[in-house]
Amino acid sequence: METVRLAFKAMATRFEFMLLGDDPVHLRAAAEEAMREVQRVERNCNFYAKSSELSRINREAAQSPVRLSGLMLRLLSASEDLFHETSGLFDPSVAPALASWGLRHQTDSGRIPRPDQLQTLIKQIGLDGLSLDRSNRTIRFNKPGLQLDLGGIAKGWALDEARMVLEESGIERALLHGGTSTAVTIGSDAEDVPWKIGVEDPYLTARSKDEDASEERAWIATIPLRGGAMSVSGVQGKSFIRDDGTETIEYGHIIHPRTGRAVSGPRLSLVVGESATACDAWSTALLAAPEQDPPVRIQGTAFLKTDSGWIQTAGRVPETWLDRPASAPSP
Amino acid sequence: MGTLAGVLAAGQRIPAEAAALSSSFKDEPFPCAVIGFGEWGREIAAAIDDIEELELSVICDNFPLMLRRAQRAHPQAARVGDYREVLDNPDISAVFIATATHDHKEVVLDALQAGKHVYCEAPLANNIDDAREIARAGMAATDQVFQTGMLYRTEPQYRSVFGFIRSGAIGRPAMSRSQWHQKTSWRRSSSSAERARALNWRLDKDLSLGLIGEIGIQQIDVTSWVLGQRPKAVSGFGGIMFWDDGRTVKDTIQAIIEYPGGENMMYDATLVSGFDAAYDLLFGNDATIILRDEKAWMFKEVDAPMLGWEVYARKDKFYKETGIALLANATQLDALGQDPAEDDPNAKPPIWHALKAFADNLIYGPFPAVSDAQLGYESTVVAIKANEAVQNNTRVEIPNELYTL
Repeated sequence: METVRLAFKAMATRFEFMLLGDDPVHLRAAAEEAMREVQRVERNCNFYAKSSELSRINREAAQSPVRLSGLMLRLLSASEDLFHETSGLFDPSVAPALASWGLRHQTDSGRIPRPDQLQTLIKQIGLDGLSLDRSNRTIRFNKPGLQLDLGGIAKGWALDEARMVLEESGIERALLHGGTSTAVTIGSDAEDVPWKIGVEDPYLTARSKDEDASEERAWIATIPLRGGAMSVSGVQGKSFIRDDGTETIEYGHIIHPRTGRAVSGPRLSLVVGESATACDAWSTALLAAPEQDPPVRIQGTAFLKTDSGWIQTAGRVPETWLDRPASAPSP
Repeated sequence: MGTLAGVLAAGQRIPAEAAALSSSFKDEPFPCAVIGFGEWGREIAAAIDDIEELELSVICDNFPLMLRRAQRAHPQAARVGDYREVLDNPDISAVFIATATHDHKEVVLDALQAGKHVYCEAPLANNIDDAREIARAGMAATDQVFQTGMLYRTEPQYRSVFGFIRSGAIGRPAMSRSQWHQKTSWRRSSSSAERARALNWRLDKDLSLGLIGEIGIQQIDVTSWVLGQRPKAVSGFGGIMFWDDGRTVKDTIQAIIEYPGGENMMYDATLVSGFDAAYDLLFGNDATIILRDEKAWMFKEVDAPMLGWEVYARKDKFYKETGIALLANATQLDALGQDPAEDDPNAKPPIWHALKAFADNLIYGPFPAVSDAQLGYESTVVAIKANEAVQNNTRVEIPNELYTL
């Protein structure tokens, strides 16, 4: 069996496709077609490129309805559905809050908005403040200051589109990931066993490196996937730390849509399911979910990792997935 | 709907009475169809979706998989497998033909016969006889819009640079150099081996005009346009340097295109390396202009005369050179309070401008398109002869009479 790998940059991260099959020429051609699907999604959904379709929506939808491409209509429809499924915890309208928290650009150093600024932000957030007309293919913003950022779902969506293209091309075994945080698979690996994806605990890894105890990564789970998808979200990565003398808090790039506050860590959520789109959005939503009352309507298996241990939020997490056993939610 | 100002900006030649007639035009968008939903057909369909004067009503492809993709991308459009269904549909007024090059002729001739307005991708055909037949039919259809796919003729930045050079800004044109580099197999995939063979016509030297004919045709046209000349000969080289997968079309090519005025254009294209992507360089004794990503910069010689405005223009460093940014719509951007150095929020790809020009012609025309039958034919002749030179590693002359329709 032959293996073909294709890596490329998109959505400010690195995508990598690994395809298995008998004909490497066919595998390469299929991988390139899948790559073009990801690039197409990126071109339409780029928040930063002023000429992208998303930027045009953000500029014009408050004035009048904006006609949508088929791709954007499907993606916004999925976003709206997931907004309702997650009880509003996944909300792609948190874009203005990210800027206020100084978490928009990689070069931003982060800042805590004043309470009055937070009050203004909360009024701007909310996907219920837009009208998506699915039959006429238009979108209209009804709330002042509303801005969409599809960063919490576009990667998963692009991977689902890529998987569909590969399946249409007859590919039977593949692993695709975007930035190592969202992955989808087709079939199983070369040994006919599920693809295995390790999940790293960023805090344990960082701690062990700080203490110079070990350079080894701290794997906290190994997820078997056979045709499924998964996504991991964490506070770390794009974040900043503030110490007010009594406690040290890390603020991450996930905004709680109801409070307008940046989610603080350490927290890591992991969602396993059929759709990378849903996994991507749900893993973002879970970071904002209350520990004691997580949403349960998720299609798939999900759990949240905090300093107090694993908290299973939905589905049944097989113990064999976890390198350390899951615990019940903290009292 | 389109405005006359927009038409003028796209460089259309409009009959004087067009403005007076404009009030009688209908407000509904023109229902149109895309025939051929491969990679380029998808780009055309996406551009149509972004032009309010056009309504993508039907997508046609004889491959069911492509129609499934069409359904996902354009759920509002009907889908058919036989282009004759499109031509029999009285509601469709215009068709955009993006089938394989060697399949253009039958579809274009039938579409014109059916009274449809036609946009035909370039090259028109993979042989001179078919190209001539297509162009003659397009020229004869005086009551219909017929536009060929020479993209840069309607692209604002290229149009701006064209006028700039014609006004003498680079002095005496000396030579040009263009490249197109992309790391890709150029191969399409299908679960069916038979379908894969059909989809990969680009890799078959008996059907395809290769990199210089399918890609280079656009860049060679830029030099021909700027010089106001048609190539008289092409020397070609190349080989299969990396993608040795059974294809018969070269994956890396070089060519020198000779013009009657003595200028030469150097061209290279490869599927092996993506380094430095694609650009066009136009050299003169006073300045050199580079066009890339629909942006342009001018590099002046030390002894070049002052143009006046360049003192105030934005300048960008390129290693040890300083480029003066040439912006097609700098004045408008300034008026809108936008920084010309930033990404232009109204930027559109060249295909969008080409289709917008077509749409404006539907509204105000028909009048001869900027990229008309003659231009499409001449460009196709160059593509065919250049490919012949590349495939045989030889020099091929293009007699002037070959350009006559």
